[in-house]
Amino acid sequence: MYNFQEKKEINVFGFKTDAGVAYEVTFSPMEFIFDDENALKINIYELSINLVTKLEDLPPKDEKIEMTIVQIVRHFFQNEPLNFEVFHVSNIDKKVISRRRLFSNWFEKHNNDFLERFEKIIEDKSEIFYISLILRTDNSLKSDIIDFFANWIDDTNAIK
Amino acid sequence: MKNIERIKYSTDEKHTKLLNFMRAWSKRKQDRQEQVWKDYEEGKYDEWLKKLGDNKVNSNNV
Repeated sequence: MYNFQEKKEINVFGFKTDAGVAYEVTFSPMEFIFDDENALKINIYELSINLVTKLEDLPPKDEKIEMTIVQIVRHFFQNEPLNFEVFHVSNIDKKVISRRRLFSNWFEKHNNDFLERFEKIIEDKSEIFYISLILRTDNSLKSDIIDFFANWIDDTNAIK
Repeated sequence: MKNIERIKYSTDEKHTKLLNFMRAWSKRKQDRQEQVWKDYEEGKYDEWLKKLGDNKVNSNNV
């Protein structure tokens, strides 16, 4: 695993691989998805993983990258036990299925039951979208959060 | 809920709104990645990248 740097005030983490490729992992507040009175709005974050170094080709395969990203996610939850994340697998480049599989594999391989993941798969005729909900197994708001995720299509501001 | 829920294609209005929301979300993510690369090319990450080499945070303690 690589050591990582944290910009605490903005929930941004970074690390650089042996090959010199830098990654940014961010947790952005996503309260806009809720109605004003919803108490869960202060606990929802969107997880994003961005490649900082612009490369001509795909970055070299490196198992330490996945270990580091999962460790950053775990670190984020260590001090914020009530938080939960939504991770959206983007379909921008038609590699959505392999990207989703990669993320699922990382999670299963390195999580050790500290976190729990739920997933929605949304299909269109020619498109597919994946959204994951990630939360601590011992999150005391777990039932409310899962209920939100199960019903969010009906309940969220964003889709009304 | 089950750990994986599949929402299949439908023509109803709610599904259309959901798809539009997901497309907009994808676009936002794409824009963010493009912005990161733009900032990288403009040198805005230079100081930060130097720090990444320092390994000041010992992630083994996490």
